[in-house]
Amino acid sequence: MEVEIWHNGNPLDCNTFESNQQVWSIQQLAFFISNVKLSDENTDHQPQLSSTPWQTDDVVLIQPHLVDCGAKSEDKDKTSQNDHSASEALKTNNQLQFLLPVDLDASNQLFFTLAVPFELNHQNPLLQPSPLNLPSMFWSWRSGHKFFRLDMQGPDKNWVFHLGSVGCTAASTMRSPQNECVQPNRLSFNLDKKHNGTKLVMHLDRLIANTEMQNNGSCLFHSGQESCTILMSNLKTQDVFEWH
Amino acid sequence: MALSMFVTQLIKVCSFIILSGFLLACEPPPLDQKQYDWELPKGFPSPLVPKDNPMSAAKVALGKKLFFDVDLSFNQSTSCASCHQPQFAFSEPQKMAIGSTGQGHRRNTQSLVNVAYNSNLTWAHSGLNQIEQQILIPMFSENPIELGITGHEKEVLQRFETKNYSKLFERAFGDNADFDKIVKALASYVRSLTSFASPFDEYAYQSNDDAMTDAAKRGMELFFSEKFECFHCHGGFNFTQSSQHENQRLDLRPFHNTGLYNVDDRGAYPISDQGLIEVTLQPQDMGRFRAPTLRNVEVSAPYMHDGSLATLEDVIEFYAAGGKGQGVANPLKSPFLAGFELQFEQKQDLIEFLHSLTDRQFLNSNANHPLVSP
Repeated sequence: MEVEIWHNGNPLDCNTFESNQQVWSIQQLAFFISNVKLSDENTDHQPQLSSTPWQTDDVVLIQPHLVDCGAKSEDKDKTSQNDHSASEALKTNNQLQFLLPVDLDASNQLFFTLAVPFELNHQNPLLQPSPLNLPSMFWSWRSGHKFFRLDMQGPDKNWVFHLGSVGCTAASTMRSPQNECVQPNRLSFNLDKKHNGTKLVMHLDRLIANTEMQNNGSCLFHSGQESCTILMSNLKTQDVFEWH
Repeated sequence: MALSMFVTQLIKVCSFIILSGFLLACEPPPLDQKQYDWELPKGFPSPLVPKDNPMSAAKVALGKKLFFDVDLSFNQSTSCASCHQPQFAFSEPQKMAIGSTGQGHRRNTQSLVNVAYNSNLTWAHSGLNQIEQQILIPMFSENPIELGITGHEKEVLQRFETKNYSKLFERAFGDNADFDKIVKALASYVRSLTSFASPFDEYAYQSNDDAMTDAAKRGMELFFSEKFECFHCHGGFNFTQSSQHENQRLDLRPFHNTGLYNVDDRGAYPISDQGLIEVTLQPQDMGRFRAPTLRNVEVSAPYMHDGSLATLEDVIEFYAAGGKGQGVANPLKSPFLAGFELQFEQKQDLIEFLHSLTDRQFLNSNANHPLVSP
């Protein structure tokens, strides 16, 4: 299943986009999806994911390929293009790979959680399989992973959204909490199929709607960041994800 | 009779010699050519090693001798260790490096601690990710001249045809010295410089609650907080995002503009060193440098790519201010360098934490290695 990032109703292939007459460039966009289920009229079915550097059997890290469209293109021979695509596979991932073929035609609903499950979220990263050992998506043993990460650079400022569990209690930042955090911030999505079911679409414009990035601060989930309230509400109510 | 017995005996002896010669030839190479024990603490992953240069104890031993040998510089004045000094975690206590001719380098000597885990090498080069490639720079570069081998290849190589070196090359490669083997041995040696036995490691990964002082633990909380943001760039087990290992091969661009300079109010760094943009020619890479590991950072002063910050105190104050001078307003600065308010005690705690990343065992085991003189 492919994952696409859309902006204002169209697929976003470049790492830049316009919002309120300002050009923003995406420095990093990545998020974890887990607990993927498909259902038809009668039954729920939880297909296993294949194990790759980007996914364990239940958790996948999506980090879409967004081209730097402003970059000067360079002449490249065929070999270097091949090399490029091989190394690109280790830089970006825009799909969920199921271990066994799934019948997307027969399914009419897709369910997933935008998070890493609690049992996997606070483990020693050294002993975790990829992608659960990526430092860029890990806060600490106590706080666990960033479930969603969007870092952007605007005309004269930066804007960042890092979603993850907060209010986690442990002896220190290098120790795991025994119990669930006060705000787990695990959002689940139950999506109706719109087309043939081969695409999961994330609408960037709906996520950042009403945040007025230029005026409002980033959201890193430390105290009193107003933008966090707006972003969480957008994720819950604005159809940020759609199953096409 | 006696003669025939002698002949039979002789044949037996000969065939034994021939046979054992045959056996020796077929025997697998001795252990130190095939195997390598990283001796990593429990749970730590092994680094990725290129297929065409597998680790071996024999290569590491040869590489170590080469690393400290001034014969590797054209004028026999300088070794790798002249700049990468073991007691300073394989860096050196001066702003910028100086090569074998006295020519200055524009950058600070980087520590080689855990360099085997780096997904990118040097201060700012997105395409340089193998130690074997990197080593060619100090060996052969003509501007600046470091070891200065270019133009003196034959003369330098001849110095490694001694009986002693021949034995080491034979053991490591089953062959005589050449520059490819010198590079491979040096790469194996610097890969072997792993350091994971700091008080922090004992606390975090070996679960010893008493391994760190209370001040260091308080500093750790600050370091990993979203307020101070240190860990966004200096994250992961090696305190740099620029890390890969056997279980983590994904490649993320680990370069950041920290607001050290801003000469034109549009984010430019001084023309003498503009970082990653020099390699990629992409405007957004202006002033971007690789976040180095913080392991043993206590002993690797001065700091930053140009050595412009003298102490850890200076570094923390720099990050608290969100940059230096005009650099604070650098539009290309990383979003994690917004700056923060810092109490005096917090600064002390952060420094205590950074000191808890010092691996005395590592520093002691490499200290006092004599420089080899001609």
